[in-house]
Amino acid sequence: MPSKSASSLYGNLDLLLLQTVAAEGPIHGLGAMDAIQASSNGSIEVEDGALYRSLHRLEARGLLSAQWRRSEKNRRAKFYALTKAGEKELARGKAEWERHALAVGRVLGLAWEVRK
Amino acid sequence: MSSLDGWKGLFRLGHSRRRVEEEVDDEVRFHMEGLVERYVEGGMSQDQARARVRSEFGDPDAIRAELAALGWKTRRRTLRRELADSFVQDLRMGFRQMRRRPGFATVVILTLGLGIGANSAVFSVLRSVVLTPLPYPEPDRLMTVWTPWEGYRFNPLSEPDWADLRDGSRSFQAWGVYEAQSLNLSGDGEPEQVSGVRLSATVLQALGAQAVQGRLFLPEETEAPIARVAVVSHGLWQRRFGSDPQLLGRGILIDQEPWTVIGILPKGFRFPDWGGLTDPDVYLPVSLEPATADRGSYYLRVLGRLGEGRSPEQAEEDLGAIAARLAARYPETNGHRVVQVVPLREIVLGEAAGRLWILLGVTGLVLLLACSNVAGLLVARNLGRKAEMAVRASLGAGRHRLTRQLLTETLALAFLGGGTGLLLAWRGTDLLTRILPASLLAGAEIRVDGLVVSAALGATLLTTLLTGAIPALVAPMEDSSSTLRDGSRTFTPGRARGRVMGFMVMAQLALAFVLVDGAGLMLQSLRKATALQELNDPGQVLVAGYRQPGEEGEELFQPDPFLEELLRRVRGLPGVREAGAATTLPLEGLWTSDILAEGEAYDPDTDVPSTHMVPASPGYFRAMGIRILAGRDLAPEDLTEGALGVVVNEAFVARHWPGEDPLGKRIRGNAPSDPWLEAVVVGMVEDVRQSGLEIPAESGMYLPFFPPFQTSRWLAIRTDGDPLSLVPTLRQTLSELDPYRPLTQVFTAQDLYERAARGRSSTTLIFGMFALVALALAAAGTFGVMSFSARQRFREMGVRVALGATRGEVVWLLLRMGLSLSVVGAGIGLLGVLGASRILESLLYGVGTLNPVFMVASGVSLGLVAAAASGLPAFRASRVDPVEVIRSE
Repeated sequence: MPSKSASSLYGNLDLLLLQTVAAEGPIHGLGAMDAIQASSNGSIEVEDGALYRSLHRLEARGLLSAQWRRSEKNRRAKFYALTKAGEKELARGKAEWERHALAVGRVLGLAWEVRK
Repeated sequence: MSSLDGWKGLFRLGHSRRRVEEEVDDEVRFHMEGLVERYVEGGMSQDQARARVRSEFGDPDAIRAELAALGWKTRRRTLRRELADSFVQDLRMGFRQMRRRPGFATVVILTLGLGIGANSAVFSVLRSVVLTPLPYPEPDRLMTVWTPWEGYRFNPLSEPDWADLRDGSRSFQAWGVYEAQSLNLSGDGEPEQVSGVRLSATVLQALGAQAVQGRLFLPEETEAPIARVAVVSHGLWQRRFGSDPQLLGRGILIDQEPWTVIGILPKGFRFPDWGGLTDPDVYLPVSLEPATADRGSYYLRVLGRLGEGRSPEQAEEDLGAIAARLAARYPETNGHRVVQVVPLREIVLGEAAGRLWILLGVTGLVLLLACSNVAGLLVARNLGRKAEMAVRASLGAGRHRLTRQLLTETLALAFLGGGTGLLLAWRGTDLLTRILPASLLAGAEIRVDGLVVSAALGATLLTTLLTGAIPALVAPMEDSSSTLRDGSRTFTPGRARGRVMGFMVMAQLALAFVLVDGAGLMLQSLRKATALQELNDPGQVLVAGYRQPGEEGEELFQPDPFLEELLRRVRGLPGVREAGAATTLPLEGLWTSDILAEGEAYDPDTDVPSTHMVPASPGYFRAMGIRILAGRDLAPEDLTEGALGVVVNEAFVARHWPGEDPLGKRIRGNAPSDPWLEAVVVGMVEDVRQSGLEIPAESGMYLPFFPPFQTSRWLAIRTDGDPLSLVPTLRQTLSELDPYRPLTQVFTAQDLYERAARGRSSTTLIFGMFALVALALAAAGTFGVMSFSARQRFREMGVRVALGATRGEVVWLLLRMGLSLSVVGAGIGLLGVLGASRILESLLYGVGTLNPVFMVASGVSLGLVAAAASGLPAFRASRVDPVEVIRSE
């Protein structure tokens, strides 16, 4: 299914967070922010408010589960982990993003190859 | 008491909202502090770092609120999921329990099934019959009108009174009169007797009837002189005329006169009648001559639709004013006559509604009984599962969690019980319909439908709460550690719990007492009602009916030559000992009149008691088996003009001439001058009840003539052999005389008594069945509780036996317990009987509600049941091997 608008190119924070949680394992909000920044070589900076809104939304949708644990500095922090439904949503979101980016790339005459 | 915590635990969501907010605060604080630390490490001062973090974060309050809302959503979602998960888990647990103890489950399911089934069956009938509106548009506006003597009810109208009321009142939008009548339909095919109604066009208008083919009567067609047109029912059209589309406009022969069919009523159209809806075959115009008709001859029924916005009270007032004028003008007939307006619904439902409500009450008691029984069983079982509960509690299951588990298990049982109940109800409605008059059910379709199923569902949920809540709240409240320490076997039921179970069994026994006592009284009423059979050897009497259509305006005192000839031939048939005929049968009397006896003067202000009038032929008394006590039988010469001879019954003599010889005394109609009837008493016969089994014989009189409005003829033929074997010969004899005249009904005089007893005997049967069910339930309950407490006291028994108690003593110990339960139960039941005596009274005949014989009998049967139910557990307890008991500790 094609994406509704080009705006979803940017700001698909939900998908980034799902991927980050999937890659890093149980992680708190601050950690996820750092991880996104790191894996995008600093080119994506996540706004604090948006980050937590997205995390909580994902939790409310049952895509993430949360648990209170001790952080690396031995403080109580809320850790998020991917649920079964989250895994599915991540796979679906990735595929959609790929199709979308490819289509936009073709239109713009960029020479991309699909990674298999 | 801790049960309150248990309940709150079920709904602990209430605390969570604040916790969610706190968690959001914690999370945000963690985030901010992490960033501050980071900036400080990067060389900022604390204050600088804080300011920076705050500015980066945006509006923290707005974000917090948003996060809290999302978090609340999440929390609710998880709680719901947890609840659902634990529900499924509990259900599974419940079914596992059932499989483990199938006997227990079966008893519970059957018990609840019986209770719910009985209620659903009664409710489905009640709904179809009583709670369903009459099948007419705006049925609440339909009324009947009567003109009784002051203080009485339901007297039909005379033609002149009707004409005066009709012309003087504007209360009704449409109203008219009718008179039911059976008719001989001949012409195409066999002659047959059909049911008919003679009515004014306005009656069908008031009912909102529409013809499905052709048209209904025009108002002028039912005014004198009436048009010879007929409307037929859909049923008759299909059955008799094969749905012939050409029937409209065609002539049919009714009582050997041609009538033209102008319309067919829709399928399912019903005509209201006393105690039910009927499906008459033929509708004809009623022929009235109010100018010449007798103002004191009451036979017209009035049915009308009130005008928009009119109330029955207003109509009664309006008509009452006219009645007062009539009373002033015609004091002889209308002196003390009032007008009564009664909703049609009351007339149609008759007594059946009351009977059904009482039945619903009784079944409600049975359901209550089933509930308390099951609750007792559950308490007992949960006590048996104390160890299991303690283990689960020590593994971390909260108190409310255990309560919920027990409730869920009960719910599963209740639903299986409810399903069983619906199956039973589905079969049981058949039986129930037998206690209702067939005419009442004619229009109603009795079935177990959505509403009945929902009612059963409601009953099931209620049952769950009633039966599940008590034991669920009581059972897990034990201190788990002490239970585990004590071991599961040596538990003695606590005082409080023992009392709860004792109460339940007592309540069951009390309810059973009420029902058994009631059933006994009903049975006695039935016996009283059927014990007396006045007729001599009624099994030898064939009763056969036919019709003798009368001519308008004919002479009142006329013989019936057709009947005389028929009787002459019948008396000659082989096996016939005597034959006679009358226009009404014993127990089914119809015609009453006000008669003055010799020595009484006319007085318009005196309420003259009615006398049942029965035109009869010579030989009728001997054929029917009514003894002649004085004087002689009716004879042909009694019909001599100016010297009419009549026969009266004992009740007439007792009322008018107590202790005197009635022979030769004179009687006359109740009028100031020129009475319609003047006659001499030539004989006296024994009393025979006229209005059913339960109203004692009233004044009665047998007349030697057959007035034209009395169209029924009932032959009574006393035979040597089986009376019914005479029927073919009788048909033959009748058709030789008149091929167009069918026999209506044939049965024996014995059947008269059975017909009259039918309603009461079915009610008694059902009441008795409920009483047996109640007794069985109470027995099961007692058995359950007794075997439970016997098991709990095994060790005590073992010790007693070890200390030298005999088996008999051990048995007696437990039997005594069961018996004392039944004594207290009977005591409470006695109070119940006292409380319910007014309701009970309406069901009884010939026996008081507080009859010591039946109370004692109910008490004894309760004792026997309790003893029997305690016997097996007591016997088992007495077989306890003391060594075994002590070793197992």
